[in-house]
Amino acid sequence: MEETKVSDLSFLKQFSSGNSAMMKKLINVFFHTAQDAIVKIQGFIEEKNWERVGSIAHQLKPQCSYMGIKTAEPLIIQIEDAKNSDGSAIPALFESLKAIMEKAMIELKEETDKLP
Amino acid sequence: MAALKKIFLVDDDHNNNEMLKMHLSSKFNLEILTFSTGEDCVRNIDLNPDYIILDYNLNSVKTEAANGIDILKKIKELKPEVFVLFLSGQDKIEVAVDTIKYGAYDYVVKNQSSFLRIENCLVNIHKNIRLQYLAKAYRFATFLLGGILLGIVVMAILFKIFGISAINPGWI
Repeated sequence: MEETKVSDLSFLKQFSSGNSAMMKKLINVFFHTAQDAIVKIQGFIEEKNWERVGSIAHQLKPQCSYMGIKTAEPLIIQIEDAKNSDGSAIPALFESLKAIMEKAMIELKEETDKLP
Repeated sequence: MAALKKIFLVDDDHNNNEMLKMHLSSKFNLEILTFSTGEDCVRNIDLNPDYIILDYNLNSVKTEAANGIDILKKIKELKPEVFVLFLSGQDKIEVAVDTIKYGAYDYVVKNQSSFLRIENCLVNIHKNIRLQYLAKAYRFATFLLGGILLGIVVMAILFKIFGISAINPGWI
């Protein structure tokens, strides 16, 4: 049975009017942004700096929307909301988010390789 | 030739700025300048932008950077005529209400439809400017026509009072 995909490039295809070079460029920038955000969030979780965790996660929200990573968005919203409480829920939420992002990045890499 | 309209894109998310720049340059003939902080935007306000697209959270790179509302207040203080559109990942209604209260033209939440919504906002602003111009021209034309009509009536009364005939005024 085929595993359900977490990303969907329909919007990006429409946005770039099928221009492969533009799609590759935008996906690469997403890789860079997402990887950078994951490292930063991990660091801020260790410091228990929930305000900065929320701020970095917030930046990922539109990027996930553009890459069609719909399951990441509610987790990001929960992380943003959790920063206003004691933050204890954040590490578990982040682990779920990280797993989705890593899966999405593998899928996007495969899609990029297929592009002409 | 009409001067090229200028637009500032202010977002700490470089990718978003680039995507919006790509979209707008494919739809409009605009001079587009991008800034990663509101402070940079305010520093360059003398370049006289016609429109500014402003993010709400601008502190993901520079933690001490001011938020979009503070930058909006500063922009409106320096250049009240500039159209400011908010484009933000923040979908809380109270934030949106605040931005409109302080003079933003509209508030657009960042998602897949935001590029199209920004495009529509710019088209609507352009239509509004054109309507305002037409309303002004109409008011001027009405005033001018009213003045001419009043002049004719006054002349007719004066002619009547002084018994001057329009066909043979008496000075021919």
